[in-house]
Order: sequence, then C-alpha cells, then structure tokens
Amino acid sequence: MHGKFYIQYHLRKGMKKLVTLILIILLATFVYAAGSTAGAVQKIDKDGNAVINCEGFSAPRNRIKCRLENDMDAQGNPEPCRALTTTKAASCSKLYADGLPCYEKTGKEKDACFRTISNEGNSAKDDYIVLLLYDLEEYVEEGLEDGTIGIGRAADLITEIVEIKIAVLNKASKSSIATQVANLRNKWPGGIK
Amino acid sequence: MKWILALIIIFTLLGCQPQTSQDSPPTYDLPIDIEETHGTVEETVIEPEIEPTVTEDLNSVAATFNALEKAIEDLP
Repeated sequence: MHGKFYIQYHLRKGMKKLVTLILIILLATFVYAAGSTAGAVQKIDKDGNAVINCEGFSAPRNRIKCRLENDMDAQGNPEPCRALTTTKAASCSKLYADGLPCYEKTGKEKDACFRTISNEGNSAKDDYIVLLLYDLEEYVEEGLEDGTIGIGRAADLITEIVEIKIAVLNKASKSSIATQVANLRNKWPGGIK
Repeated sequence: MKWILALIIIFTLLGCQPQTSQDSPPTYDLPIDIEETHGTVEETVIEPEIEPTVTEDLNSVAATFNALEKAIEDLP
C-alpha cells in the first residue's frame, strides 16, 4: 500500500511539472509572436478593406520592411525627418516633396534637378547629399521589385541609408558621414547597378 | 634809366627774369622721370574665384556613389 501511494504521489508531482512546462512553452510562444508582430496594427482603408498600418511599428527597420512589403508608394512622413527637431523636420519633408519629380529624370537632368532643389534651401550641400542618398534608395526598391535582392536585404540597406541621412541632416562630422557611405558602398549588392 | 638797369640786375641775380616778350614762354624741365623711378603700371584684372558646377551624369549606382563622395568632400 505504501508503495502504491508513493507511485501516485510521484506521478502527480510529475504531472504538475509537465503542466507547468507546457504552460511556460505556451506563454513563451505567445510572447514571441506578440514581439514579432508588435505594432502591426490593421486599419480599415477608405474602401472598407483591412490593411496593415506600418506606422504602428516602433523600430524604423520594421516600418521600412512593412512599407516595402505592403505599400511601397506610401508617402507618409519620411523616415529621416522623424529624427529631427520640429523646425528641421518641416524643411526635411519639404525637401522630399520637392525632390520627387527629380527621380523621374535620368543622368545629368536628374543631377541638375537635385542641385536646383537643394539650392532653394539654407543647407544646399546637405540637401544635395540627402537627395543623392534617396536616389540610392530608389535603386534598392528597383532591385527588390525585379527580384535582385530579398525583402530583408532591402530593408537593411534602406535602414542604413536612412541612418546616413539623419547623420547628414544633424550635421554629423564629415569623416563619420564619409565612413558610413564607404561602408554602404562596400556592402552594396553587386546585382544592383 | 638807372632804375631800370638796377631792377634788371636785381631780377637777374634773383634768378627770376622778367618776361620781355610774350612769344617765348618759359619752359621747365621735370626734375625726375616718373617712368624711370616708378616704372609702368601694368593692368591686372583679378577675377573672383567661382567653383565651376559640374553636372554629374547620374546614370548608375556607381555614378550616384561617386557624386555622393564628391559632395561629402565639399562639406565644411
């Protein structure tokens, strides 16, 4: 009799451990799932369809990746402008809006357009650099569209470009900007020319 | 007559002869030659230094990177 109770006692104890373990695994799975989709809030568009709201993501890379996956043509508040002070952010957004027609041009016309747009502002050299960096972003998006690179690589490259733009707009040192651009050039995918 | 002679002698001694005729105006030699002492003035035109703006041919990723690196070099 004593032995039977002993076995039952240990079985119950073992069950408790098993249940606890299952609960921990379930909880961990839930936490991971919540973390990986944090911020991916659905919103209803004007036609009544549920769409992903990329703005719900807190990390810039997640927002960028989300936009690349869902709405590449979305024209919200440009990523680099969000990291600036209110005054700077306004002129930053204006630069983006003014510069958009330039990306429909090619070669020397495109460069002339960049120079014209950037000369309208107070910080012509910085603005010109930002417009050139945005040109690289366009190449990344084209690379993603034609399948040269995957979504993760594209998001990484654009996030890095955005970081350089923020450095330029925040008047980081010339040498640090040069280093960032050199790093970007070194890791640039050979397929995107 | 004596007075006139006396005046001529005085003027001659003072080196300031009275003009006796309007047909021969006095001539003065310049004491120094300006060209010899100062030389000729050369006309030099100083043109303002304006950096020529070269329009880049942005037809590839490499061209954009090159323009970018050049623009960073131009930063203060």
